[in-house]
Amino acid sequence: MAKIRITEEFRASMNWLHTWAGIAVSCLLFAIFWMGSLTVFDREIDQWMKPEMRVVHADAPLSYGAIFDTFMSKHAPGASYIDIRPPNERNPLGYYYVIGADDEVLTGAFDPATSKPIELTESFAGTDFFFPFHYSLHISPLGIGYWLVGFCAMAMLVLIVSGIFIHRKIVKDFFTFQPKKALRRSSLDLHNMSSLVALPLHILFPLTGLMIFFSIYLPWSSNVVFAGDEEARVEAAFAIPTVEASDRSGPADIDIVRIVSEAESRWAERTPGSQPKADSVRLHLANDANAYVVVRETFPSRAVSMNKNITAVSVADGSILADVGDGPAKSSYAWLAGAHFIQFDSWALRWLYFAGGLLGSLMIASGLIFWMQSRIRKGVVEPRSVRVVRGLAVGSISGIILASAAYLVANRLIPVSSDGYGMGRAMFEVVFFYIVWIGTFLHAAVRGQFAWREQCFAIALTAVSAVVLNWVTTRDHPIAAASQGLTQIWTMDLTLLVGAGMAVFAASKLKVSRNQMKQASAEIGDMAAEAQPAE
Amino acid sequence: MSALAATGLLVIAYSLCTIGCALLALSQSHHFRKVLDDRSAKPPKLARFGCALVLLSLIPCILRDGGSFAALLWPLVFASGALTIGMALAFMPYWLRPLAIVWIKKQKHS
Repeated sequence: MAKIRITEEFRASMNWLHTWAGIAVSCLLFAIFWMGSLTVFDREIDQWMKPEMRVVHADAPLSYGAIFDTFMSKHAPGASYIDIRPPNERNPLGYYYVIGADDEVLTGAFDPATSKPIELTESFAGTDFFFPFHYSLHISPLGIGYWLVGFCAMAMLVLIVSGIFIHRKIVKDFFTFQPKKALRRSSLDLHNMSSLVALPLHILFPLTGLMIFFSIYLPWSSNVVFAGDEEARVEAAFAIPTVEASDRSGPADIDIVRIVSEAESRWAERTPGSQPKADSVRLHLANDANAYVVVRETFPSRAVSMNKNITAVSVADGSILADVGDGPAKSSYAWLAGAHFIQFDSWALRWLYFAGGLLGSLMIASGLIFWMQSRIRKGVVEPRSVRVVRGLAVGSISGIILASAAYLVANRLIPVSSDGYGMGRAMFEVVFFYIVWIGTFLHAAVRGQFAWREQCFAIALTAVSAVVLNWVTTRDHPIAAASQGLTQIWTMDLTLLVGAGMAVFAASKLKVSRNQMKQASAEIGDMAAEAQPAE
Repeated sequence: MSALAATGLLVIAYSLCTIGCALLALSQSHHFRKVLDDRSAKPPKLARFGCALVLLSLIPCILRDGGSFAALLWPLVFASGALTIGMALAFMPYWLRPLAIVWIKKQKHS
């Protein structure tokens, strides 16, 4: 067996790569990791930010017949497309997406008990703000956001591989953290430990993230197989048949309940022992003779894999138009994508993923701090290069945490009826987020080394304010929420309070005094003067 | 599976991982000496036993959620156990002293 010999030259080149690739992407990578960690609880954040969603999930099966009847007769008569998503443990309300008679889109939540649409607080919240930020940075022109995130994910894989090669004592450093040593040493310890203990996950997260968007990063695969026909690819992968509308009107009664139950039994036969449950029922070409229903189980609650089962059924004669189950390639992809989407029902894994995301964020932040501390003289005196990186790092690390907490505060402060000065309430919240975020970069530029500590205190204050404002505006303080069975609300409040405590702890460790800085500058000045040849 | 059984299996998996990581750490001289506060103490050969316990923790993970979930749960539980031991060694190394002493007594008896 060939033995791999790591030469000093190779190690040095990997070190160079690790250092500079790290400096180039770490600020952006931290933002992606932070938003990814928040996205683990996006539905729970939705409930916190939209108090109308705070109802306890009733574990009763949804009556699809009643829902479709209500929408087709009352809320959206003449609609061409109706998508109904049933409630589940994380979403106590059902969701609808309807394309009306004159092509207007109606979307929102409905009460599963009464089938009535519910007016929610206008906010992008977790699913429409934190989640898209994680994968596209909200930069849509030319798909730049997707490409930036993809580049960072690829860079992270390079950083992990190069990090392994430059690490001399992997076993020795595995459990080593020396908090009492200088910040340079302790930040390196934290960087090593946080990378090593969760190494498989630090590879899994960026790799699966890249795989989810393979059609963006590697569009040629569908070009080769489907001759560039994107519709054909989607049809093959997601069982969406190409059915044209006819000139004839459709049947008056559509037996949705039968279609859904037959699809579910079909899936159960395919995977014995499983209890598949539809999580999306879509009626295409409603009110047309060629109407068909697509029943999907996209996120099975008891499986890691997503896009598990999709069946398209013709309404007129009940024939199966398309049916997609597990194939070897698809199920491998579905498991990897599902491991990144984590829509399954497992609270233990959800919390562990959240902790894993924060551990990744800690790995990035401690790596950046180590780079800076290695270049700071006497522990406090910064060269210009460090000043620039520190300014960016403060804004990207403590700044984005502060802006996220401020986003929650803005959500509770802005009245429900506000139109956000014409831009819409939801967008007004987002503007608030960006103002605070940009402000943290400016603050970092002005306040220098004091910015870390001050922003940590600001995070603590903002997080506590969010909890208090939630109490004042909804009366759901943690104890009241717990007594009503609103687990998502009190756990989020407690997480915010724990986060505030950690921010105060971090601030207490980041104390830098002006005297210390003056003394260090003077000592460096003396040393420089001594080094100068006497004239 | 009942919530109690699921929680129990998770606790077992975490405990096995944490004890396994503790033994892995104690097999290294600098950690062993720090735990006993004795600069000349010779670390026991516990690494294999520690690895075995960490591997063993895969069983409760599989029993709890099946292989597909265990592939995610196990590395995360391991990371939690390893972090627990890392932080214990940093802030409260004396917590691991009972484990180290048990081993020393066992060595003396044999």
